[in-house]
Amino acid sequence: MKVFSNEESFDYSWEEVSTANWRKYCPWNDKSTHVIAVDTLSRSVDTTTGILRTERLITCKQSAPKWLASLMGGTDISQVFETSYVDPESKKVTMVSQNLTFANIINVRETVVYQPLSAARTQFKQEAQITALCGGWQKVKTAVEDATVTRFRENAVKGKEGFESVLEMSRRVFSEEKSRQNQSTEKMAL
Amino acid sequence: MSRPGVAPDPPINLEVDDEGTHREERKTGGNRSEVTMSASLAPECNEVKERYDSCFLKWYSEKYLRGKGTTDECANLFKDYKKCLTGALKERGIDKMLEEAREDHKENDAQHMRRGCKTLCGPFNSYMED
Repeated sequence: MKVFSNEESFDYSWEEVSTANWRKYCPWNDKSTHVIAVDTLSRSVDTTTGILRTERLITCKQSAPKWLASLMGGTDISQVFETSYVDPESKKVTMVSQNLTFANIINVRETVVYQPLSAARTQFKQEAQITALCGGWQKVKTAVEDATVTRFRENAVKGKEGFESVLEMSRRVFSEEKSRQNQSTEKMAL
Repeated sequence: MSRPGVAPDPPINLEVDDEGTHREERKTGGNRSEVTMSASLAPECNEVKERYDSCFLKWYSEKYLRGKGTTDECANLFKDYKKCLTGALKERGIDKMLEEAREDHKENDAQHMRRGCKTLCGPFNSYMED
């Protein structure tokens, strides 16, 4: 098993980050283009705790190294199942995900947590456990795990950059919307 | 669901109008390059998905995060989207894979839903903070 972990911070409030997180993979994010679809499967608010629980299906298209692609049956489409928990009381978003595709070859379990560092800064923590399952050859397993860790590292850099642009756009659009609302209120007052 | 410690009006970003329709979508007739939500794996579900996502985002930022979100106002839109998606998942054979993963993820609920298991889950709750 290999572990990939990463920590980042964003200069936005937890409320802004947790809201923008729902559209992290929208067209404003021109970096994480390997994510081609995000579908919501179920969603509920726990009546006792107030925690919002969401199940999503994330579809990726990413070309793997040639040797790995042949091991994986030649397809470049893969899917990830994610369950997330938003606790507005303790201001914590937790997202747990695992791979659906290639589940007989590799097991990837990722946990992402967003928590406030201050009123205007939010921390992002990511940890992925990667275990290759293909029988026998340790060398092959290690190579599969290493290739996956490399991919995680590349995607983490792109993910941070891409999410930054989503956050920026969200803030800009919000302030535009707000000034438009103010203008119309002023007009009404006149 | 009023909570102490929840900021009354956090700075929140939104660009969904009052009818819950997407501005960009309306303007461009659903051109994917102009919309600001992620796509569905089933292109035929994009339109209903966009409508649901916009509704959810508005509810999440304006109500839920402000402690006013006890009921799901987007339930009807979700029903439409879900109906479309369920068929697409079945067609693609993804529904069976999902069932297994869903079973696996039930373990996570005990850890993250704080359902009266403070002593049992205590040590696990803090593992990300280490």
